[in-house]
Amino acid sequence: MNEHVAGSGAEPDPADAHPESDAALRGVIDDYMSTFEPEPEDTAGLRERILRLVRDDLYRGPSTHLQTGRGNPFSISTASVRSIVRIAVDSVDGIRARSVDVEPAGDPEGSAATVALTVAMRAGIPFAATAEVIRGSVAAAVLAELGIPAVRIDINAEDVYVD
Amino acid sequence: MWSVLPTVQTAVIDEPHARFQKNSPVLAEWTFCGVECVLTTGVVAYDVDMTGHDDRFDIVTLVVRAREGDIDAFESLVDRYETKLLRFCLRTLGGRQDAEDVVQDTLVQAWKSMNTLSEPAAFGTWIYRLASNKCTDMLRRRMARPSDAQDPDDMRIHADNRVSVEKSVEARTALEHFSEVLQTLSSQQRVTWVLHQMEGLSYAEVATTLGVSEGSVRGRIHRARAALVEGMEGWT
Amino acid sequence: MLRMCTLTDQSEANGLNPTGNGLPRTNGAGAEGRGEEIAESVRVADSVTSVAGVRALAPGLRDLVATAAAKVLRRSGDEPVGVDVSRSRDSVKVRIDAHLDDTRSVAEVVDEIFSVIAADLSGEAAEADGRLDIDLRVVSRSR
Repeated sequence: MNEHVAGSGAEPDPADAHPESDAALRGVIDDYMSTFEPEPEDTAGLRERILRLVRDDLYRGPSTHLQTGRGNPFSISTASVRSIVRIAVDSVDGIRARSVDVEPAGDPEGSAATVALTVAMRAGIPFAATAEVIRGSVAAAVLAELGIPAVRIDINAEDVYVD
Repeated sequence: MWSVLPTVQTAVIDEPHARFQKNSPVLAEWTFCGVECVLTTGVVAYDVDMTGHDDRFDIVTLVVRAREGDIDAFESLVDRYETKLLRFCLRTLGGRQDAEDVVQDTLVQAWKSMNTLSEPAAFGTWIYRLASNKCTDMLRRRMARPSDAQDPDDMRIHADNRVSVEKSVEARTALEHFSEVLQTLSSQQRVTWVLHQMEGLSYAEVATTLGVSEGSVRGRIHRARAALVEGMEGWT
Repeated sequence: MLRMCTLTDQSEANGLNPTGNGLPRTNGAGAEGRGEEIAESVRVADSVTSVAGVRALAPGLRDLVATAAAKVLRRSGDEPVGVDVSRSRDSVKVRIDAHLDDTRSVAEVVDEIFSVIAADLSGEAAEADGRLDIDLRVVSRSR
């Protein structure tokens, strides 16, 4: 089971059916279910509260320590670095980024970065050629957005999907 | 200057999870970096949900990303599950405020503890388990303090707003009585019964969600059903 | 004996001083010194937020402690400014938590932040034997 199905009430299991009692309760159960059916506007405020709490938590998350070409050290939230890489990967046709790991590299440490990522590919995509496209896209994005060179980019295709 | 060094390319097709359904029709077969691949119609059955949210990403991708701090991916998960969870909690707890509190706690806990979810494809089951546990705790607390039981006004507000105005006074009263009978069930019976009867989960799915045996689920539902029939005698 | 007690009292007072944000102070300058540091923090915050690519500053850990302490003590003041300047005998330390936008590369923005801080605090750093430590954290980067 991977998705819970929006139920309008379960059909009785044949092995455990109580047709008479179920039929007798059916009407009131249906009334109860329709009474407690959330409308989209019911969840708007709740959604905002949840996301605000999550954002606050994200700001306290882990950091990646890097330094600029001029030798100025800084740390940046790891989530932000991963986001840069994800966008670059997603921009490649037929590729969806999954896990992204960016580690400080270079000498001095943090003057460059290594990237390891897993992706899902659309069925029929040639991996070897596409991997080079992904590498180019990620390398360009890391340099342009972070200002740090990516000296190694490992790609692991872990799943295939169909549109 | 910078360079991208050539690295070993690995193409690992995971163990095809539960989503590759057995005996599904084969769409295509091909060799992928030495790995023989078979594509069946079952491959896409796991993540299709036409509810109007961002459908670009499958559930595994969203969970893996959210686990690594991708707030957009988590937002998509919230979009997919918030309404379902709220409906489940409303039906289980019978009160809006408590239901919203449980959904909020559930999703925030999910965000913080997503690393403990070893199988991303099982997110749906996992999130319902978190919510079920919180509902059970909430019902237990209520039973320990009977004055905290569901506020009947909660019910009336929904009934007045949502149920047809043509509904008879008798029907509304039966609904309120049913709600009261539902509150007499034990917390475990109530959660189990709502998951099966109202959310449409099979016995096996309820058992997986709650982490109990299928026999326990059958027993709880049987006792819940008997109590409800008895409690509603003369009303239906 | 009496002097030793007096010295001990002063040291403890510095560590417990509410205006010191609940953290031990390093220069022993008391409330007046902290006031100068806050003024410097505000000035540097203005400079940093004027850098293109900086969207906002986030309250750092010390600010959060100060805000929490202020709430507990039911007093106002020490509003988070997002930059924390502290001086010691041998260095000036600057802690910044910043939200960036994506109009420039992170490294470009970082280099400019270092430049404006160095320009702002060059006098203070010289007084403190020339050492300027900048601890910059990019909290988020968005469109």
